[in-house]
Amino acid sequence: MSAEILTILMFCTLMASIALGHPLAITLAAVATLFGLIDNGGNIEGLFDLFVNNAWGLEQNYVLVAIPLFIFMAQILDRSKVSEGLFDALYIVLGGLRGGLGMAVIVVSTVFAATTGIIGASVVAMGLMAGPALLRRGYDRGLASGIICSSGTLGILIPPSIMLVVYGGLTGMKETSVGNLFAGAILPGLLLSGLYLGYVAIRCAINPSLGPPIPAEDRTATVAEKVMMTAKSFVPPFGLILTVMGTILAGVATPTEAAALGCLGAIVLAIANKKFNVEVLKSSCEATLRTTAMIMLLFVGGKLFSVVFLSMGGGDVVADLLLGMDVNDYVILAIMMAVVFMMGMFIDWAAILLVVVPIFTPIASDLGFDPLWFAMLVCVNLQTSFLTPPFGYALFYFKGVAPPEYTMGDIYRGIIPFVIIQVVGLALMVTFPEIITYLPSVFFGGG
Amino acid sequence: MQPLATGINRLNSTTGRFISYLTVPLILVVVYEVFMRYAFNAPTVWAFEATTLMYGCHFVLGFAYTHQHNGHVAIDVFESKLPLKPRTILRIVVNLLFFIPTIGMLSYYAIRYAITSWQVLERASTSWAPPLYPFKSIMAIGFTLLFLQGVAKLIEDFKSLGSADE
Amino acid sequence: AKREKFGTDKRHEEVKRELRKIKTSEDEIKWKMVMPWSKGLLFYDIAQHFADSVKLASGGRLDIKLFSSGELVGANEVFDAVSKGSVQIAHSSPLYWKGRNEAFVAYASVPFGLDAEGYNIWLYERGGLEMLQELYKPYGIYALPAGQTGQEMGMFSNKKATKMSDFKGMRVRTPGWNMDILNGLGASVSPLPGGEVYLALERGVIDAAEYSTPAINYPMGFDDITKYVIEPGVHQPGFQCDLMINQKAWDSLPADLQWIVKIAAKETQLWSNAWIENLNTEAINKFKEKIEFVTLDKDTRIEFAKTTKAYLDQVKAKHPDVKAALDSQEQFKKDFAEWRRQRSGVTPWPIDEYIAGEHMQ
Ligand code: NA
Ligand code: NA
Repeated sequence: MSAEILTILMFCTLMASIALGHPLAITLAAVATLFGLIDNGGNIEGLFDLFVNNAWGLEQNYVLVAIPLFIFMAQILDRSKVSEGLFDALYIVLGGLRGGLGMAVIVVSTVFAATTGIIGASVVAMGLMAGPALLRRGYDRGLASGIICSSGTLGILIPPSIMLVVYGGLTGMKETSVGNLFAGAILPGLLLSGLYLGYVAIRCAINPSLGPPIPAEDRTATVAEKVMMTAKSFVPPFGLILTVMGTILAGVATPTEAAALGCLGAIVLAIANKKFNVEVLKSSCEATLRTTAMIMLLFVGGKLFSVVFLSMGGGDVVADLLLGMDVNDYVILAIMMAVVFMMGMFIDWAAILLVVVPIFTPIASDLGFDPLWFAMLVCVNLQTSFLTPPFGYALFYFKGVAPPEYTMGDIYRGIIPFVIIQVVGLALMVTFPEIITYLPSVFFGGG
Repeated sequence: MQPLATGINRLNSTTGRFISYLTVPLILVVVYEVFMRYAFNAPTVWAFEATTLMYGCHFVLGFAYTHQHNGHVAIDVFESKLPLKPRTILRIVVNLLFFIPTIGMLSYYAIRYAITSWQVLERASTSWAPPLYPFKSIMAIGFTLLFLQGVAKLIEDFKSLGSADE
Repeated sequence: AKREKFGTDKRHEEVKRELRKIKTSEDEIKWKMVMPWSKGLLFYDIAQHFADSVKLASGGRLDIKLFSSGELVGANEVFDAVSKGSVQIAHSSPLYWKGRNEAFVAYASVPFGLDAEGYNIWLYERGGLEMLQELYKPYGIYALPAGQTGQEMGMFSNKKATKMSDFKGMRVRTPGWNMDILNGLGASVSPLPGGEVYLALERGVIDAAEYSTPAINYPMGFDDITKYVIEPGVHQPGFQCDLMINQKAWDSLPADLQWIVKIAAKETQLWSNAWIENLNTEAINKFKEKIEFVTLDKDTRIEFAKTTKAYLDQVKAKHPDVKAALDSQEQFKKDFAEWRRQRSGVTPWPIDEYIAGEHMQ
């Protein structure tokens, strides 16, 4: 069978299989096994040695240590009522603002994005803390999950970001060195965050039931009370996040290390709140293990799937798609973006990067596109891949930690407007390249 | 068969609860490294690797515990619409088609992978050079526990199918 | 007395025997190659060059498809993938298999050790190749040297360190033997994982880090975030890459293709060195526009050498395989020293600089 047919069959089989309701990680691994065996002529030993080898590789990845650390931090903040206090305060302070709490979540996520480069960590942490809070305030479950998932994925775009580090290593071009990519990603990240805010503000202004403000009769808090609440509930956790960021920016700690300092800080806050005890520690540890294992098994399943996809020559299939096309430069750009977008519906960002960057970068250079600008368009697309059904990993991470009221249907429904926003953001970056190129030119004198 | 399922469940919940506390030393080691490097200019040779290895044990031994608590995310949009009995049958079939062969093979080859590491007493290619065979063994144990948990679920599903018949 | 013919090509007799039985094979074979390199690295191009040579020389009968780091396996998993036969071949460096046997390091890069010329002579004419193959044998791997990238750059640093005292407490990231040696010199060496190095250097978590040759370093943009390069790169006078081939895959290869692989490996060894060194000439000038090169003073270099020697002696005492390799290399260096001394002073540096009195070796 040709690589094209096999690749298409593999995606179709995956689509059909996920509907069976089995854990996704296992489904990914099982489909990978089936097609891996077809591809390598039934050599079970060769395939599973490769699989085990890759599972071990995931155990060796230091950067992933940030995942349990941020989850633990969120668990402690949650169980010690620190995050509840934060969202209570935000809710009251924002008073009559429609969708106010939702917008606050976006702002907190954007700041949080600057402390972690790993999606799993930020989506899960925000899902744990903001998921229940938004539910309690009567937010529409679709809108709430859209807010948390989309702003949570900013963590992989806004530096520090593991995705940008990998990208930098792939191109071997000075223009797309890690430093340039980091500088280039800041404004696109903020732009998207701003678009989410605008969307929530407009949707909730039109239909307040989606993100209800405090009922008018309950808006009794005076300015002085609001100031007090802010000082008491808002400043400590926000200060914690800023401190974590500060240790990264000041060169005291790497992002992974900053996560551990954040855990320590969370424990200190919990103790100050008189809510820290053995029970809190025990339940936080157990919840951390369950969430981490869930994310990591998804990592394993996704990895096995992409290994088989690449081994079958799926990368060549994508390359051939683009060869010999004689159309307008921007049509080719649009096609490349569409390819990344569509791959993002199924496979993880790392595999997409490995396939498309080496193929697309020379094409983009031939067309005279700025490599950094092009790189950032790809990266925004990859951030989007965490959100696009059916395989939006951020959606799964959120589902794994959110209260059971959030169904997969809510999440799928809620994410669609945000995916459209991503496309709008991308279009803005194509139209105004300065959004990407301005900061690098300030920092590094034009790459 | 039920005692086997009960035994597996007990084993995995004990392992899970015990291993979950690994988060605490994980944090302490990372914080210690930052402290030693920043305050004393004396980074350790071992902290980065120790953290990574601990983290590996943490999540890999947590696979089964999480499965026991139905913590591995699934898309149940369609499946949840089915009545109880067909749903159980579907679960059994998918378990036998997907889970048992895939995780069974992964466990088997993970054990062989660990044995190879023991044969050469493999160490990491770093200055600290910790032995890797214990950790590769733990990976094999982690997958095997996950496999056993899948077997336990299979037994329980068969049992509920039987009791639903009565 | 009449002089005997001086020197023989040992291979010639073997080739005469081979030619009696060798036939052009018909088999079309596809191999998968893994590596620790990502696609942006020039090492990937070296692997590609080898695969191209094999494909050309075999008229496409042996088709080797490359998979960069992370596509099929991660960097550290390359060894197992070949050893277990999940893939047939890898392009890598023995340096990375220190954990399997400390001696692998000796075949890749030794502080104050062999340079490119030295490795070529030692590997091909002094039995180094056979020793390397012996080392891989227990793992079911057949190895061939393929790729020599020469002397590496020194450390990129935000601290101007040229004297011994400058290194006290300096926060450095470097892997392998060099890590232990720098520790011995009073630096505080942190084995930061690869993915964290750039950010750590940028933010000042570490003061200095080293990576590779000028041409390979240039795209990484280290010069955007550091002020100095501390030369010379005494920690790596040469860097040797190799091919690791699964023994069963090798044995099942028809004899003519085996010879093609062997010859292409040697061609890659030659080409890579010329290619990288020529690229270095351009890269070093680009670096000089943005970053200051500083040189370790003589006493410091001597101190580095002393510490290195003591360290290597200690490693040799612990690992007989390391001792065997390093002793063989030392013997070669001793034997070669006289000719090296005699020929020095008329090296092909620009003649104007020579006239001006700069006689480099
Ligand atoms: Na980030
Ligand atoms: Na997706």
